[in-house]
Amino acid sequence: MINFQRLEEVDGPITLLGESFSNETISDKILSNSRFYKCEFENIIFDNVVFRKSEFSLCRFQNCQILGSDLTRVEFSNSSFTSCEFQQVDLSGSLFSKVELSETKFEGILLIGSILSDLKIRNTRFHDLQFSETYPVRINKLKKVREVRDSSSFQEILADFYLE
Amino acid sequence: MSKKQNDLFTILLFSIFCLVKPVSYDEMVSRHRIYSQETELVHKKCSNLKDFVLSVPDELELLEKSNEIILPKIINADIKAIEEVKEISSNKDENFELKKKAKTNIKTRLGTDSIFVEGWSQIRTFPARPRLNYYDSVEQRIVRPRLLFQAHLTCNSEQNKLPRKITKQDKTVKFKKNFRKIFNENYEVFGYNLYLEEDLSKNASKKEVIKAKDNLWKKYKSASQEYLRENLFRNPCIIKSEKCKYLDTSDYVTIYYNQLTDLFAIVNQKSNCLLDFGIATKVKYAEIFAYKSSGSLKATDICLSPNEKLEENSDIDELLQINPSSTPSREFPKSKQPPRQGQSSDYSKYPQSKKKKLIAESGLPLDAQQKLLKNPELLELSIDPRSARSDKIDKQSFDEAESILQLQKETGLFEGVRRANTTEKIEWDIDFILSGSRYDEADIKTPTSFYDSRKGPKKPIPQDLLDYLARESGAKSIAQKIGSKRCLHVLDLKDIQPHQKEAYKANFLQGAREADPVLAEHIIVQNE
Repeated sequence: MINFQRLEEVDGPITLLGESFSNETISDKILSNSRFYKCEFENIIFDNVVFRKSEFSLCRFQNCQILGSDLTRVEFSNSSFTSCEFQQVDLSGSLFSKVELSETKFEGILLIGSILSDLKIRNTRFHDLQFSETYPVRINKLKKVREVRDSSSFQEILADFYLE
Repeated sequence: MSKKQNDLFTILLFSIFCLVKPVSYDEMVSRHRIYSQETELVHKKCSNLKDFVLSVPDELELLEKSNEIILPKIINADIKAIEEVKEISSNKDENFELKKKAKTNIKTRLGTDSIFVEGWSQIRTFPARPRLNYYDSVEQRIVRPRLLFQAHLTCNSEQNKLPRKITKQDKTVKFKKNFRKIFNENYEVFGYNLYLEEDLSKNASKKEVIKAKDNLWKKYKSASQEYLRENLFRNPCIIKSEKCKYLDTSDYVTIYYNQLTDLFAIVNQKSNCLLDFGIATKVKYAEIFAYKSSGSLKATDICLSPNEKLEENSDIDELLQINPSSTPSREFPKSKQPPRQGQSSDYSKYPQSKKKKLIAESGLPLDAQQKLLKNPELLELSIDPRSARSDKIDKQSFDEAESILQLQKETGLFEGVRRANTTEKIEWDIDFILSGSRYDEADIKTPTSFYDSRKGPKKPIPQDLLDYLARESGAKSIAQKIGSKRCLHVLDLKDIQPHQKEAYKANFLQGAREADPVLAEHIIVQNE
C-alpha cells in the first residue's frame, strides 16, 4: 500500500489514480460518475453506496464487501476481486471487462443488461440473480456474444470462464 | 339598358368574378413567392436548420432555362464502383416511363416540371461536413466542426442562387434491393470511411491506400447502391442539375446533390448510368455547379475561406434555435416521444426559485451555473432522472447535456432530445433519447485527462495510462451498446488537454474498432 487515504472523506464524483484504501466502512455515499484508476481497496465495506456510472480500471479489491449499493452502469476493466462479497447490489447495465473474480460471492444481484466480457473466474458463487427477458446479460468471450436470460444458462455459460 | 351599357355591365361582372374567384393552392404557389413549391417541399422534409436555411425564399429568383455546367473530375471516382452500378441502365425504358409519370405530378410556380433559380457568378470553396474535423490544405490547419457548420450554412445560402430544381422522388435510377441493411443502419459510413481513406493516406504508402480502398469498396460498393437510391434518387429535397458536362464524357450528365449529407451522384443522362458518386468532403463542391459559359475557373473567383465568412454569420446562433414544427419525425411510441424544441418541456414544471436552488446546489462552476440559468433546455437535460438523487444536477450530467446540445447545434443530426424516462424500463440505461434522426439514442463519453490528487491540485494522468484508458473506453463504449445499432456514440474531448486530444481520439477509435468496427462508425468526436 502506498497511501492510506480515507475514502470517507471523498465527496461527489472524483477521479483517483494510484490510491490505496483499507480498513474502512463507507456508507450512504454518492460516488457516481467517479473514476478510479490503479486503485487498491482492501478490507473495505461499501454499504449503500452509489457508484452509478463510475469506472474502475486496473483496480484491485481484496476482502471487500459491497452491500445494498447501486452499481448501475458501473464499469470494471482489467480489475480483480479476491475474497469479496456482493450482496443486494444493482449491477444493471454494468460492464465487467477482463475482470478476475476469485473466491467471490454474488447474492441478490440485479443483472439487467449487464455485460461480462473475458472474465476469469475461480471459486466464485452466484446466488439469487435476477435477469431480464428484454435485456439479457451478454457474455462475451473471444468476441462471441451469448445472451443469458435465466440463472441456469448463466451458470452453464459462465462455466467456460472458470479457471482450473 | 343599351347594348353598350349591357356590355359594360357584363365586363364589370366578369371582372368582379375574376377578382373573387377562389384561388387554388397551386395558383397561390404560382403567384406568390411565399407559397413557393420549393419552400413547401423543403419544409416538409426539413430535418434540421440546414434545410430550413435552404428553404428561405428571399434569394430565389426565377430563370426560364437551365445552364450548361462543366464539372471537374472529383475524388472518390472508383472504376470498380462505376462498373458495379452500370446495371442501372438496363431498365432504361421502364425508367423512362416512371420519369414521365413523376414529371407530370410536379407542380411549380412556372407550371413546368422544375424550379430554376438565379445563376451564380462566383465560385466559392467550402469544406462540407461539419461532422469531422477537416484539414484545410490552404490554411494548413484543422478546421473545427463549428466553423465547418457555419461555412456549410453559408454555402447553403450561396447555393440557393445556383441553377437547380428540386424534384419529387426520382425513381428513374434504380438499384438492387439486396443490400438495404448495411447502409440503412450506417448512415455515416460513407463519410466515415472516406475520412479514414484520407487519414490513412497521410502516412501510408500509395500501395497501402489502394489496398485500403479496395477493401473499402469490397465491403460497401454494393450497399452504396441502396444508399444512393434512398438518399439521392428517392429524396425529394435534393438539388438536381441537368444538362451538365462531365469533363471526360461526351454526353450530358445529371448531378444529384444532397446538401444535408453532401452526397452527390453523377448520372449519364443518355444511358441513365451512374458515373460517379461520393461525399463532397474536401472537394470544392461548388465547382460541381460551375458554369461552362463562364469559362475556366479563375483563382480570383474562389473567394473567402470559411473563417473569413464567420463574422457575417453571427446570427447563426439565433437561426439555430429555429426548428420547423412541420418537420415530420420518425415514429416513436408516445411515451418515448422526445419533446421538440419550442414545446413545453419538463423544465417548465420548475418554478424560478426551484431552478435557482437546483443550480445553486449543483456545485458547478459559476459559468456553468450561468449557462443553466440562461438556457432552460440545458437545465432540463442536465437533470438526469436516473441519478440516485432525483432532480440533482452534477457535473457529469451537465457535461452530457452540454455535449448533446452542442452536437445538435453543430450537426443537426437529430431534432429532439430528452433524458431517459425512468418509468420506462426500456430507457433505463440510455443517456439521451433522440427524435427526428436515424438514431434512437445517444451515449455520451466525457473523459478527463486529470485526476484528483488529494495532496494538492489536479494532476494530468500520465500519457501511457491515458492511452490505455482511451483504448479501454472506446472498447467499453461499443461493448455496452452491442446490438444497439441505432445508438449514436459521442466522445467529447473538452476535458482532455489540447495536446493529448489527438492521441486520445485515435486510441479511443482504435479500441472501439477492435470491439466492433461497424458500430464504431457511429462515433462522433466533439471538441477535438
